[in-house]
Parts: sequence; structure tokens; C-alpha cells
Amino acid sequence: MSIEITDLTKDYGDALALDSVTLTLGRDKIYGLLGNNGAGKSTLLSILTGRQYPSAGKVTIDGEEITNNDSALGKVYLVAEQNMFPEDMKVSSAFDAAAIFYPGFDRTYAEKLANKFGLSLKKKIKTLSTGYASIFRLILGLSVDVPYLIFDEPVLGLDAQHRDMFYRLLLERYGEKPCTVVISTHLIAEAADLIEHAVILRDGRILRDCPSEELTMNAYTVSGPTELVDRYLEGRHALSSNILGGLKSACVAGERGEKPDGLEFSRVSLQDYFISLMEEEDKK
Amino acid sequence: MKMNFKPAFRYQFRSLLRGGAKSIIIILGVLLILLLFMNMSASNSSVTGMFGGTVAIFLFVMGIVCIRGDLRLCLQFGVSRRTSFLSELTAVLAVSALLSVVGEVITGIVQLATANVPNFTVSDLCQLDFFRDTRVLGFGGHMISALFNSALFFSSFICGVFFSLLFWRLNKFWTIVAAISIPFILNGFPILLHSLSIDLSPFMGWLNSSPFNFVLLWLLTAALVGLVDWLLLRRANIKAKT
Repeated sequence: MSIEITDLTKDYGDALALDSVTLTLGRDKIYGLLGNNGAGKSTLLSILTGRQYPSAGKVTIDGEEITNNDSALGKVYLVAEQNMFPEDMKVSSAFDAAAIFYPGFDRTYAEKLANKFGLSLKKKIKTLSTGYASIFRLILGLSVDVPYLIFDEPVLGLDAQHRDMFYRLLLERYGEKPCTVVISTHLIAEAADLIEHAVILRDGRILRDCPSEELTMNAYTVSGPTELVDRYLEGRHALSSNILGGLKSACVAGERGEKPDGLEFSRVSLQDYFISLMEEEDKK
Repeated sequence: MKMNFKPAFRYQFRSLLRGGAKSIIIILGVLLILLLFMNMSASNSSVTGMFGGTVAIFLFVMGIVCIRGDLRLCLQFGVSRRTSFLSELTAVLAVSALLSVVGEVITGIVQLATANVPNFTVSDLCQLDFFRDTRVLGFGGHMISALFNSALFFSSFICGVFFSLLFWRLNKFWTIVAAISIPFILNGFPILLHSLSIDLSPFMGWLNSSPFNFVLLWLLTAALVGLVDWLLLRRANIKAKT
């Protein structure tokens, strides 16, 4: 039971948004879909939910092709960056509509969350601020009962407290009703603790598709006096480096090995790994 | 391919019905004002095609307004564009039939209530064309008029959908070209027919010979334009309103 993406290509005339992407999103895991702006993340998610058609390739959900297939599309809920609801619709009417389409929609829970976030049910969607429009969409996402839940830039415009609330609620939801969660975000450091499996996209191609632990375990940060670090890096694969005063730190791919005197080793974070990988790609 | 038709239909039917109810309230209000004026005025008053014409325009506008929003909402809630489109057509067919029946009831009541008022007549489009001599339409006449209006409403909505989808799919340049071309085509068509010496009077004669011919014409128009609507929609990128 999974979402299978096979040789997915999407072009907009001369611009290639996705280039033969092949990917499997398995059941009951939290995925992080990471990439720079224009990497193709949102295009991929739009295709997964039938909002766009691919130029080539196919997508199946639990073995069923998604094209005009409500059974497959109904298993995925995308909390997108943009509002897909009629602007004059009230928050409460959107909850009513969700209950028509999803018999498993937990209205009581949705209202509880709205109260928790301070979202008025009587407000029209078009009058909501950027942050509250995000909150409204997040609440719907957290309250529908689907096996595949996708968030595209979920915390857009949210303050630190609300972002933290969302991450905790998402983990609660995942713990109570395990499902596949895909989080596409630029705020990698915040979401890193949640992400079990990272998919890194760049220029429409998949650069990495593996457990996030594996990514960060296969790289480490070495820091110390510039001269020592440079000597240490000889013959090693340095993904990126920074110099501050006389001190240098570098992200190195591979096994740590023995630590030389005068140098410090530390674990690389997912965000640092991502930045290093992008910098390495920039050099190509 | 499995379809999740029922929820999409329920949502769209409710939404169209709410709009339809509002339009009926407005029509009733206007009728009431006319009745009041009629009492004050001694001159002859005739209200022709008020219900059919008004609701047809209303549904044309609803076609323009609803299709994009309904598609977005359906896709947000896991219903494909095909199901959304089919359920939209079914919902508008049901609402068209319902509004036609309501319209006939209103027209019938007003006709009966004003049957003895010499200077006031109320009739709908079908009556104007095919039952001109009858002041108070019978049950059979109302049934034919309801069918006539249903087909007209349905066709109007689908034509509205066409314009909405056409301008949705076109880029800025072609939008301007289309916007300029449409009045030229509409005005130029009769001139073109005349210059080609094509006589439409046999067709018009056939059309005016029976209300069912009009029903057939509108249903054929709906089928043809509906097909074009689907072709415009099937590969469109469904984006949020910007």
C-alpha cells in the first residue's frame, strides 16, 4: 500500500518542472519533501492530487491510477499553500462541506482546534489573515480521515507558538491514526525532528531519497583551526565549508574515523546537510 | 474508475439551489411591485417572459461563476474533475427542472389571480411563442412550458461554463483576441449568412412549429457546448484563485 510515482515528467513549454521522477511513498511514515524554490515540489504534489496532469509518467495510489479516479484521489488530502475554497465561504461552511465529502471528517475535533488556535468559525475565508488562512487549512487537514496527508508549506505566515502547536498536533494525529504524512517545507530545521524519510529534489530531479537518519549519519561536521581542518579534509569529500576568523568548519561526507587532536566533530543536522548538498550541486 | 458522485452532487445542488431561491425571491419581489403599479395605473400592462428570461440569464451567470470554484473545491476534497463536471451538469439539470416547475406554479397562480383583471397579462417565453391566444395556461401548457424552460436553463448554464473555461484557459493575448472576436462573430454571423445567400427561414419555421423543436435545439446546443467544455477542462491546470 503506497503512492507509486513512475517516470513522472512535467514540462511547461521549454521549462522542465519534473524530469523522470520515480518515487515510492510507503504507508505510515513521515516524509520530508525538500528542495530549493523551483525544485518541483509543488508541481509534484499538484500532480499527486489531480490538480495538474503530467506530461509523461504515471501515479498510482494503492495500486490504482489516479486519473479521474475518485477512489484513489479520495485517499489523499493536500493542505496546499493556496486557498482552493470559495472566497465567500465561511469557515463553518467549509467544515460542513468537508463533512459531505469525507464521512470520517471529525467536526468536533476541527471545532476544538479552531477554538485552540482562536479561529472564528463565523469568519469568511477571504477575510482571514495569511496566518489564519494557513491555520484554517491545517485544521481541515488534521481533521480528515485519510491514509495520505500532504502538507505544502504548512506553516506559512504562522507565528512561532502556532507553528509549535501544529507540529505537536501533527505528531498527536500521527500517533493516534497512523498515516503517511508528506511535509514539503523550507523550514527544515523546525520539521527535522518529525521527518523520518527525506526526499530531496533539485531542478525536477530526485537527488536523495532515503531515511533522514541515513543522510545525517553519512555526514558530519568538522571544526577547528583553518590549517588543521584543511589538512584533515585532504582526500576527503567536503560537501561545504565556512571560515570565521581563524576557525573553519566543514561538512564532510563519509565515515567519521578517528578524531585528530585540535579538531571537533559534531553530528550534521538535516538542514546543514541540505545546504551542503545544494552548495555542492551549485558548484557542478 | 470509481466515482464519488454523490457528495459532489449534494454540494453543487445545494449551492445552485440557494442561488436559484434568491433569484426567485427577486422575481417575486419585482412581480409584486408590478402588481402594485398595475393597481395604480389604468394603462395595459403585460409581463412577458419574465421568469424564463430572468432565470436563463441568472443560470448563464451561475455557469460563469460556479464552475471554477466547484472544481477547486471538489479537487481539494478528493473528487476528480470528471466527476465534478458530471455532477455539476446533473445538479444544474435538477435545479433547472425544479426552477421551471416553481416558475410555472408562480406564473399559474398569478394568471389565475389576475384572470379577471382586464389590463394585466403575465406569460412566459413558451406561451408567448406557442400559446399566444391563451391568457390562462392549462396544466398541459404549463408542463410544456416547464420542459421548454428546463432545456433553456440547462443550455444557458452550459454556455456560461464555456465562457468561464475559455477565458480560464487562454493566456492574456488570446483572451483579448477572444474578447474582441466574440461580438464580431455574433454580429457577423447573420451578415455572413446573408452574403452567402443562406436562407434560415425554413429552419426558423421548423423551430417555431413546435416547442419541442426548441427543446431539441437547446439540448443539442447543451450537448455540443458541454463537449467543448469538457475538452477545455480535461487537461486544465486547476490552480487557486489569484
